[in-house]
Formats: sequence, structure tokens, C-alpha cells
Amino acid sequence: MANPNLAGNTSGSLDVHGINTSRDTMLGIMARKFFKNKLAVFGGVFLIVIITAAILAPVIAPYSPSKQNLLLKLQPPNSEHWLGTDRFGRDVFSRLLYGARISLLVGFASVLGSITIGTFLGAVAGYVGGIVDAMIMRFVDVILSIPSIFLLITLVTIFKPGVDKLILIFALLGWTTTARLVRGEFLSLRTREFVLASKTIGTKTMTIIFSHILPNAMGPIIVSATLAVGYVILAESGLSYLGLGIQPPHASWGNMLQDAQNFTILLKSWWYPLAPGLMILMTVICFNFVGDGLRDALDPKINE
Amino acid sequence: MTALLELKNLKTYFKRKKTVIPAVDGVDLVINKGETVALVGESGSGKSITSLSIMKLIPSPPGEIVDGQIHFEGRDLVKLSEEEMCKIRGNDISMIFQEPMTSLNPVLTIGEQIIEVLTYHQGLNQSAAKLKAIEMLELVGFSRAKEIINDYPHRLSGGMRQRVMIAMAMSCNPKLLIADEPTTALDVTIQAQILDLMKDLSKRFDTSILIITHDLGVVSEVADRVVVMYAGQVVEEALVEDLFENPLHPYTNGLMGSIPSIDEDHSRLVSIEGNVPSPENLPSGCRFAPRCPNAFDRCFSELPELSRKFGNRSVRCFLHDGKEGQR
Repeated sequence: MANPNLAGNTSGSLDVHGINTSRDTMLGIMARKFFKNKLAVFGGVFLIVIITAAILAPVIAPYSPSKQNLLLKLQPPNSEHWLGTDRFGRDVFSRLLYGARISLLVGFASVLGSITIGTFLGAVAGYVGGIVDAMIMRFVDVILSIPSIFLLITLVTIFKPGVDKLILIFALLGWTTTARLVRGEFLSLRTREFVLASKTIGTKTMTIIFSHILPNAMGPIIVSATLAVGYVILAESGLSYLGLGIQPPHASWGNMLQDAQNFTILLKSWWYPLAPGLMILMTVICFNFVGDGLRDALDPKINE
Repeated sequence: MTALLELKNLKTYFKRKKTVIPAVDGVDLVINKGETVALVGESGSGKSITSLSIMKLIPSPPGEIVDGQIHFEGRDLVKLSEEEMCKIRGNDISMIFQEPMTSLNPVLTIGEQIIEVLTYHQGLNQSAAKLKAIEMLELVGFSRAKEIINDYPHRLSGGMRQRVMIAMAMSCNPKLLIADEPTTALDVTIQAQILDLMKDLSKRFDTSILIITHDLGVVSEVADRVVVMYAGQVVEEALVEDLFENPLHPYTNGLMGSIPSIDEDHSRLVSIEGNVPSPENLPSGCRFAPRCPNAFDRCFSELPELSRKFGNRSVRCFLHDGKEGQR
């Protein structure tokens, strides 16, 4: 039965957030906990704005991101160019919007890939155990023992850098931590009684792994995914900053920064590097805020 | 009566690096159609391993059924493949557990969990399975079955969850229900409700029940026949009235003696001296000999056989040797 005290408390706070439900569903409780965390809500709103802006970039952007106008180079912010122009006279605001597309696409797509691989291998390793587990985890150890930034640089120089290749490389290198996390979750979940109970009703192994145990491990997986998106965006910016990421004239936040790394620009046209720098900073921080909020919301041990 | 399930000399051993642990060591057990059999014994006597062996859910490695047969409706379960067992589990034999708080998946609704059994074994579609699930929930005593079906387990109390487990276990009309200490985690009033429900359903569906317990009160309430286990072996088997009236094995006697009574005024609770021997180094003779008040020389050197006595009783004890065939 629902605890009457709990039900009493919740109806009040539900009204505040405009969620109209009389029943305490799992999702309702999680949403309520998430919305109580102000930083997480701020992060979430910011990310939604950024993502919408990135999707709508062709509509919103006042100029083409690669249209040069050398007469108007390095203009400070003004009514025509809201964030000024770069050293080829391109509109910084437009480039920022198109850059967001690339940065977010690389972030989301590669994390989707790495989470899928990591979850699958981690789940199998944790549930099956024994020699399968040992082999998968030693493979993880091998990948983790290679310093990732150098491997990234090497791979990027071998294969010509491009959005698709960056996504692939990040996905193929990023799954190891997820695999470890998921394996750990499965090791403890597989001994729970409901797993034995579902075996006694004749459920097949794959169904037990993916539709009975996996939903129980979703909390940590979602959290690590949000944190990983922030990390990948940062790593992509780092690579682009080194000139190994997205190649000009395509805009990404990283290569906009690289473009601005010139002493005179830094000294005189401070607004130019500030814009992409601030975007990277804010996006990564907001992903971390959302990740923190989700972790608290998904952990049943943390009370409202 | 015809036998539904028959265990013959079942041996389930656990292998650790060098030692072999005989958790179940030559168990013979018969369950007839429509009968309720209680499997009684202390912790570590092999009751639960026996039941998991029937389901073939022994964690392997390290566990393994090394010998014996499990005849179920003319088939030997020991020889069946995992795939064939999946069809039997939940459909012909189902199981409920001690901890109703943890044996339901916390992230799936009650409905989803019952519907899964029905769609898998009965080939029902979603909507038919949902109707059947509601019907089952009503059968186990939920008046608000239509609402409960959309609830998550955390909204239900222990007794309610155990009833959900029973609804799930009974949803495919199994021929055998194995209940592993189904009432241990519940308080006494709820215990009675759950036991009544199980009795009622077994009559209605003609389901045999193997109830595993260490609570002799539960045994007297539901069982037709009792099998007492000690250190991986059956030590006594009798109809429930006979057993309570005249326990033959000293161990059964000890179990009866340790039930606290409200009439007598003991300052301490009566218990059987000593502990269950560790299965790694079992005594060479009778396994109960070191704790037995009636043990004599022969008990320490020879292992007694489980022998048939008068009526339908069997006992594994030298004290009753030579009384075979008595009526």
C-alpha cells in the first residue's frame, strides 16, 4: 500500500512542478527528485536550449558559417554580428551554432556507440562470469592501459580526420569504463532473488540479462553516459584545438578556439576566443550537473 | 495414487578446489498427484538444494547433479536439455521463495511480470495475458486487481508480494509447486493467510506442493506427508499424523522437543546439542550420531540405511533395526 504520509507530501510538490499524477510511479518519484536539484534543472534547460539551437542552426544563423568577408574581419560584437567576426570576417555567432551541431553530434553519437558496446560486453561478462568474464575484462585492461590521448592522436593522423571517423574512434575507445561499471552492477544483481525467481518461470538467459537485470542497472549507465558526453565534447575540442579534429572550413568549437590562438587576437579581439571557450565550458559543466542530478534521482537510497 | 515426481538416489555435490561437498547425498522422495509433502530440516541440511535440483537450477560450476534420477511424468529431468527445462519451469513446475520482498523485479510492474509467464508458456497475446493476469490476481485475493497490475512491487507489502508470487507461480496451472520457506519472512497472521491460499489453490487446480520449511507448525497445518532431512540425507518419512504422534528418528524427536510449549515452564529453550556437521568432514557412521542421545557403538562406525517400516514410514536409524515389516 502507498504510505499515506508520502502521498500527502507528494501531492503538494507535484502541483508546484505541474505534474498531474496521483500515483507514485517510479518515474514520477525520479522526476520529482530531479526537479528539486536546481543545478541539474539549470543544466537541463541550458542543454535543451543548446540542442534546439544546434538543430535549428540553418534557420537561426544570420549568416552562412563559412562566408568570408575580409573587410569586416575581427569586428567586435555589434548589432549586425552579435558575437563579432573572426579573422576571415565570418560571423562568430553563426559559426558557433554550426559548431554546436558538430560538437554535440560527435558527443551523442560516440557515447551512444560506446555505451551500447560497453553495456553489452559488461552485461555478458558480469552475468556469465568465469572464463568469458576473464577474457572480456582482460581485453578492457589492455585498452585502458594505453594512454588514450596519444592513441587518439595516432589514430587521427593515420585515418584522415572527419566527423564519422571521430565518432567511430571515440566510440571504440570509450566503452571500457562502461563495461566495467555494468559488469560490477551485474555481479551484484545476478545473485538477487528475483533473478532466480525469473529462472524458475523458465525465462531464457538473454531475456534475463536484457529485460530483467539491465533495467535495474539503467541508473548508473545513464549517469555515466551523460558524464561521457561532456568528456567527449572536451576531447573533440582538444583534438580540434591541436588541429587533428574537425578540419576547417567546417566549424567546431575546438577549431574555432584553435583559430583564435594568436597573441594579437587574444589581446585585442578577446570576444572571439571567449565565445567557443565559454560554450565548451558551459556545455561540459551542464552535462555534469545533469549527470549528478540523474544519479541522485535514480538512486533509491537517496531520499527526497 | 500415482507418483507425479520421484527422486531416486539424487546426489548433488558442490566441488571446491579439492574438496567435494555432498550437499544432497542420495535422496529418495516421492510426491503423488495432489499431495502436499513437507521437506523439513535445519539450515544446511540440503532442503533448498534438493528443490533447486528438481528445477535444475543448481549454480554450475561449482554445483552438479552427479548421480540419481528425477522422474517427472515419466521423463527423467536430469537428462533434459536446458531448453527443454525452460519449457517445464513455470509451466509444469513452478516455485515461490522465502523473501517476497526481493523475489519480484523492482523495475517491472506486477502485470508485466505475470504477463511474461503467460505469453511465454501459454502463447497468449498481450491483451489475453493481461485478462488472465487480472483473473489470477483476483484469485489470490486482490480486490483491486485492475489497479495492482500497473503497480511496482515497492508499493505492496510482504504478504501482498507473496500473493503476487503465488499468482505468478500458479498462472500456468503447474502440476507441482515448490514453496521454499514461503512464510518464513511473513508475520504470523499473514502466514496463515498464505498457507490457506496455497491449500485452497492446490485443491482447486489439483496441484502437488513440495513445501520446504523448518517450521513444524507450518508442517502440521498444510502437509499430508513429511520428509525429514539431516546432513543431505532423508532420515525419516511418514504421514503427518504418524510423525507428530510418534517420531521414530532421534533427530525428529529432538526437533519436536525443541518446539517451545506454553504449558511448560522452561527457563531455557530446549535445543538439540551441537551443530549440523560440516559437509566437508561428515562423521563416518550415522551422521546424527555425535548429537544423538541414544547413540551406541554401531552408530559411530556404520551408516544406517533408510528402511521401510510398518505402514508408510521409513526411518534411517539402528534403533529401529530389525523391526521391519511390523504392523
